[in-house]
Amino acid sequence: MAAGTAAADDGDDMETSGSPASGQSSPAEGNGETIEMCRRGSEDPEVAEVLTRQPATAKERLLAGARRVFRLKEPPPPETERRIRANDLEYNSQFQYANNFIKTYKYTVLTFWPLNLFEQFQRLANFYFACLLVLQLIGPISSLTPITTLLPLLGVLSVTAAKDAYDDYQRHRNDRQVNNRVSLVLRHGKLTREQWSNVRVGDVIRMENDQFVAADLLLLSTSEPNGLSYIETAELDGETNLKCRQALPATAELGQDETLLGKFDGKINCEPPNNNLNKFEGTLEWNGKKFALDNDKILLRGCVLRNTQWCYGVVIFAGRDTKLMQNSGKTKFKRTSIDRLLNVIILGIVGFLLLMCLFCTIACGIWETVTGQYFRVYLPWDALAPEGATAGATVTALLVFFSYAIVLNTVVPISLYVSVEVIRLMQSFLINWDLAMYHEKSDTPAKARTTTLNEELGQVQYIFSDKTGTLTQNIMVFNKCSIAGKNYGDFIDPVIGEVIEPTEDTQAVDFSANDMYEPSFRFFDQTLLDAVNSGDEDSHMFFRLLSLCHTVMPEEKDGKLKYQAQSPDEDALVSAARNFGFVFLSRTPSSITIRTPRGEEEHEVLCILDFNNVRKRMSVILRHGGKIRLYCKGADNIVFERLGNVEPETKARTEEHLQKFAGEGLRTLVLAYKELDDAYFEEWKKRHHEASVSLVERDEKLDALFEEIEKDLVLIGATAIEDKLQDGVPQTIANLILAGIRLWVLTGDKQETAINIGYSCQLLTDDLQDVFVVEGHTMQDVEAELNRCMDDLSRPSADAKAHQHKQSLSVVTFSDEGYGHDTPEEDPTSNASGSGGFALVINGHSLIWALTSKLERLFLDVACQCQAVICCRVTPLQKALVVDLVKKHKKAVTLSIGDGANDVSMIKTAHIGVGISGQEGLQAVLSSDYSIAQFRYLERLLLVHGRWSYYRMCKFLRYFFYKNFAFTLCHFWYSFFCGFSAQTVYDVFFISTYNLFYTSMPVLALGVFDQDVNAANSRSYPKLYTPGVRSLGFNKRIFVGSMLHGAVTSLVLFMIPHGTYKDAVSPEGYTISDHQLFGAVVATVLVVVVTMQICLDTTYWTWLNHLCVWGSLFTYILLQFFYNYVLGGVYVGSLAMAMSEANFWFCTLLTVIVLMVPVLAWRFYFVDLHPTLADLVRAKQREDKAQKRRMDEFQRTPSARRRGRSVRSGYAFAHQEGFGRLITSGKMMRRPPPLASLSMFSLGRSGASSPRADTQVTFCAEPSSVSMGGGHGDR
Amino acid sequence: MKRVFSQQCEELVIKVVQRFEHSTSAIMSSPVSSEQTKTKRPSSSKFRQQQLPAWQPILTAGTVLPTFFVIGVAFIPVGIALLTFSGNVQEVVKEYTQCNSIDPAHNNATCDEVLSSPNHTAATPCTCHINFNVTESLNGRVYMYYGLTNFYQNHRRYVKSRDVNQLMGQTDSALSDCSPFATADKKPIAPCGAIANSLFNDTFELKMLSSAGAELAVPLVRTGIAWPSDKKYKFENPPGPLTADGAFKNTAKPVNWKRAVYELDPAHPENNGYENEDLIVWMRTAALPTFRKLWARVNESAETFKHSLPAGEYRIVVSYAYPVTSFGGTKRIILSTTSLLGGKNPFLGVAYIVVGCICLVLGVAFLIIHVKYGKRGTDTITNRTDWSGH
Repeated sequence: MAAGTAAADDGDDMETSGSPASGQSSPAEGNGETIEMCRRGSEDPEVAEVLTRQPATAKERLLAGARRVFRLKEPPPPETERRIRANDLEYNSQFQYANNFIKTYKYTVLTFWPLNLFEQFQRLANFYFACLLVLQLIGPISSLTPITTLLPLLGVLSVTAAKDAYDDYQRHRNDRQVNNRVSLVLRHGKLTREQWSNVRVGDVIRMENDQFVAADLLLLSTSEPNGLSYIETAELDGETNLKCRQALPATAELGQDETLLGKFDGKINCEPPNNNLNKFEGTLEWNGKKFALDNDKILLRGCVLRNTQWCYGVVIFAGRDTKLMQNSGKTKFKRTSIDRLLNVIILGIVGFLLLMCLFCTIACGIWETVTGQYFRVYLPWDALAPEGATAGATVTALLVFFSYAIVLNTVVPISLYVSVEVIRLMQSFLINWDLAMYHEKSDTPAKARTTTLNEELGQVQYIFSDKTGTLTQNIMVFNKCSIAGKNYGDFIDPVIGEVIEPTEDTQAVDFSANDMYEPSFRFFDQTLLDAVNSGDEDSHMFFRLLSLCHTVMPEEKDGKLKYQAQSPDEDALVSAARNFGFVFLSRTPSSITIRTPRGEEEHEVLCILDFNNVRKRMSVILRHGGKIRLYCKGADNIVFERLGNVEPETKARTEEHLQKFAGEGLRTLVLAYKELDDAYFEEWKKRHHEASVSLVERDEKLDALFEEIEKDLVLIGATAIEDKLQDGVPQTIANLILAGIRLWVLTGDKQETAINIGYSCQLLTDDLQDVFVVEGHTMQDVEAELNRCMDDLSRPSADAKAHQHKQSLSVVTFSDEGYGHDTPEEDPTSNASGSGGFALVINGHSLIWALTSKLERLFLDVACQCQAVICCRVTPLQKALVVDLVKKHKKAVTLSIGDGANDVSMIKTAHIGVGISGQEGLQAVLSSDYSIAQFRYLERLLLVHGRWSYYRMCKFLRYFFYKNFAFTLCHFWYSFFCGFSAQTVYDVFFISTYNLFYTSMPVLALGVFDQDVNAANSRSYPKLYTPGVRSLGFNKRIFVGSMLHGAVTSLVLFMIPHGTYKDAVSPEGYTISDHQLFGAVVATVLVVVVTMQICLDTTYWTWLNHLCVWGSLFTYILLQFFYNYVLGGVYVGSLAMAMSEANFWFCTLLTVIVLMVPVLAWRFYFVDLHPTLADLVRAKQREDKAQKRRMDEFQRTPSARRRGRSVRSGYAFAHQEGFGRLITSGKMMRRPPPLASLSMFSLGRSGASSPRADTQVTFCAEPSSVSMGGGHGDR
Repeated sequence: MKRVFSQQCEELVIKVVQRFEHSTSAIMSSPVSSEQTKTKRPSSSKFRQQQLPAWQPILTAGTVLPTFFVIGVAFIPVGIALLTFSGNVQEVVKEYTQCNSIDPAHNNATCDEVLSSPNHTAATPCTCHINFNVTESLNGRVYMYYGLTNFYQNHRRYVKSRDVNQLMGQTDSALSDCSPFATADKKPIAPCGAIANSLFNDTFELKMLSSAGAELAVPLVRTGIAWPSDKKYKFENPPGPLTADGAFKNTAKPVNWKRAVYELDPAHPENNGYENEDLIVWMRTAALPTFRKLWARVNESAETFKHSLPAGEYRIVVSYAYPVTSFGGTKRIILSTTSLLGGKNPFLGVAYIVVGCICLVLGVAFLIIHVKYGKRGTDTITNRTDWSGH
């Protein structure tokens, strides 16, 4: 794409980081929909600030409006085009461009209170309570003193305000720090030190190495040759590889001549400020010439200059117009499904509340007419009510409506929101603290980056996973090989003489005889090394080819030879050769130097026939010792087609080995070579030259030539590379699938690689009935293919039934295993639940059509019936679209997990985004909601923490609504006895403190600590997760149940004291049937009853639970007496009087028993007759505890050991087109290497070892016409 | 609110937990070793790892069934005992709403009619007699209550229509809740509000009739009828002598009252003014529209009534001044003894017996169900495939 332009030499196409298909074919590409990337950082406070900023919501916009009102300043009209003249302050100032002053703070000392309160009251809950407060201030309807609402509201408001103030103070500080940074600005031809805030658009500024770029600059000149400069964009997009930027050749000549730079008066016309990090359009007019400007010439604020001593640039965007700032705060605020349900429920409760009020209003009207109007002799109507009987009753009744709205408002308590947040926060801490999710090697604990989504972790139904870096480590290991029909690499146990899996402790082959060996290289078959050492010609040929046929760059780092490879596969192969004694030492455009056991060899490079996805092979033609040889490595089927006369037996055995490798999930390549005739090669070379300079159909012509020469090959052998899965991935996937979660793998990889990994991580198993592959390029094709899948799926075949049966059976088996008992008669290999189902593999180019509105339902129907779905060659945007599709049409919780920049879009789209931390890129983590170090922790995150969080939250909510209904509805029952006058049963003080002090702690403790099943069993019995997926823990039905429970409780709570205290007198003759005593009794019994209920609900009694539960009761008594006797409450003496009577205790006991026995009976009934799995596991847990029996962990059998394996190719190569053309063209920009023997290169990144900014020399690869992924290979 | 709140708590919680762990780590002897080395390794304390030792109760037949039986077995005798106590309380209830005036001038009309007749003056109360026969002597202390029905002392506007501070003796109180009974003749009403204004003002004399027709007055004590705590904490006269010029200077009497507050019991200064126990009893508003309030105690120091109210003929002379029929109310006079549990109320006893029986039935039913159908947890753990819960 960009290959033809003048700026062909820079290699920053890597920064697009998309999968290979990105930008080529996505239909959505054109509509301006950009994948939003996260640009956050950690080092730079400014960037960190952007990170923490709240999302720009409608509210914020309103707020911005308010801010404008306060400042009475209109914002300038939106720019359509930016015009700048360098070094011309006057000209630039007419446009009023933003200067480089950064303001991220929201408030000043003066505006804090109005703005903050304004902001806070936009929240519905606060507003609701503010309305209540106003109602309470109106005398005639105030049934409660305003204090009851005012106190909690003030509490919530002031705590929030304090937090906001603190945050804003931090922002102020950050702003000040950033604004006060010093930058060198060219003013009047002289460099002056200016604060960042004083930098203006059009200024020419000088940047030095390792400095943060102060504003978005147009690069003018740099210290490096050809106007190159290198930047690290980690703070912007999280990628740690260096990118290069190149100044226009014309301006690069300015050098650091300050007078020349000071006179630079180029006119720049460019796009208005926007947030697209990868695009820039503009023109520079200078010296009468016009230059096109693109993103390669721009340095963005937030980047760090690396490996460049200095550079000069013109400020184009400053301050809030910079792309960094334009990108801030686009994160969508995620809410959980429980949140949404809560909103519905609360609306429902408000509706219910209004209904009750309406009922009371009507009842009051009737009462006032029948009784109240005659009672006026003792209790006149309110001053507001007119004298007439009907009119007076009506007005009184209407007023009562509001009074009851106030009295009954506690069904929606403020503390619900606060408590939910506290619980979530604590749960987040528990996630952060979990040692079982701490990765020792990378020193990375799990982190809950948002505290609002925890319980949704317990409801995940679809997981969308990235492959590279998530399922796999992105480390390729040379594992096995087949040389001349001989298989090497199996580790044979010396004791039992059988092939076994090597473990960490297995003794690897000792390569230390070779001084260039790598200690990290582990190989377990001594025979191969023996063969090499004994001079076996086949093995020498094999490793010679590996050391020659590649596009790897050597580099010396700390005196050690390192390789920089395009793909980790290549790295693995070349490293393997190196360890076996064939060390690739160096290369020049025309030669390759290797060291073999027989000494150093220099091979003349005649031609590199580079790799691409169609050819699926690469070859080099080398001359050595007068012989011209073509070495070729490639996909098995491709190379086999091109073999000449090969011994059929060798071929058959190699094929057999290849199948074995493939079955083990290894990636295979077949190696072959060919001797070339000098004359033929010369002639071919001529034609090759002609073709390569031809202007039409160049690629086709070259392909034909390559095809011609790569035939009649001689088979050497095959390599098998293990794409190392992260630890525990198959088990994790197996368990997640058993938990009823569907896993979709979305990867930029090629189909073969993806399927390969699918098998090796047990997502695909050989038990699957069929794996559908959808790879059509047109809508018709895709539709037809999908329909075919649909037909297959919907065929109600006998085997589908068998499958059903098998599946249920498998669960039985599994449970037995998990139970740790002896049921060995069942074949353990049949117990994978994946048996029998279907899987779908769809290609990126088919996905384009599958995601159109016409086909998306069909696609979704097919995909959701499949056990596993693999989408390969998808762009980041497509990843997001797939997630969005599921999110939109399935009422299911989705989770995305990934590690790279290309996963950001799907991480942000899904309900929950999980980032793999501890890797290089920060980007995925920064936009994620949870970060974990390893994929396998996902199991614990979901099955343990998610399940617990959901379980706790549901229990909490059930109890919370129960206790508030039990509390509030007593007023309603009382209304029948007090003439519907909105008289409260309880003391005002009790009403204000009920939720705050007496009942909050036990349920909070429950919400934080409760566990029905311990962590080990949560994982052993993944089925425990399914109630969460099906939202069975808390839904509308359960809510209605809690509400009814609460209502019945309140009725009993009211009626039993009513019966007890009707006309009651004390043994001393005092009347104790008064309103205050009655209220105190009901309140006390209520507190006791709800505390007993939480005792029944708590299944995990730590000492903290005990403290909270009994402490609450104690607090109640203490506060009652403190308030009444010390603070002078009007209920003074009531409770004391009640408690001194035996009646009270009998009444309390009776009420507790009457309320608890049915609950007990109900629960016992279900536990006894219809126990849930959790009940059973609990029971078992107790037994286990008694017997100290250990639980065996369930393991799925890897597919390699399966019988009846399918025949499939293991060919997979993460490789995109390599550096072949670049190497031969000699277009390398480099400084003289410090070590003459080794050319040193540093690519953006490669494999696991990332050259960071400390690399001295930077190599800029030519952007190849195919590879968008560049160094990222398959990601 | 949610999100922000969570953030604002974050630092605080960390601090609290750290401190908490620091203080408890010694007790729980958790190895918090990695404090010095700067790794991000989470602490392995049992608290953070959610492995605090815990009691994990489970509902099993072994715990639930005995509970039912124990409750059943315990509640039935308790209920019987409660019923017995309640039954031992002796009570005489006489409704007198429609009693006839004894004044011949009233022509045998009921006092209620007399009160509502237009030419009735408040100065002359209507008197009526309630004659009744106590067949069994009321043993122990005897209390005299008056009872009202359909009287909404618990109405919101009624309940709040008082001034707590005024009753505590503060003369400068705002009386804001007392409207429309806050002021009269531009003077604050003492005590203000609807409750005080509607003070029950019938008075009673209890007489024992001998067979000879002689009347023996039963000595009644009008003190010791209010809660001690009320007297102590809630009612206090303003400073000064209890006269119109003293403590209650510049106050008006409640409109319904015939006497001012300082004339409620001039003979006993400690029972006068706001501290008058009759007033205090009335001011403690009833929970329900049907209620009784203590009016007097039978003086036990009198020889005849030392331990009981002997069986015989009695007469209560009612000074009938309190109209209730206009709103459908009734008035009663009650003579009652008390038990250890107070007055006569079979509710608790019956409820205990019923609950006890239900528990026994439940216990038996569950025992049968359990034995017949109950599933032993671990037997079934492997035999079901649908673990979605109920």
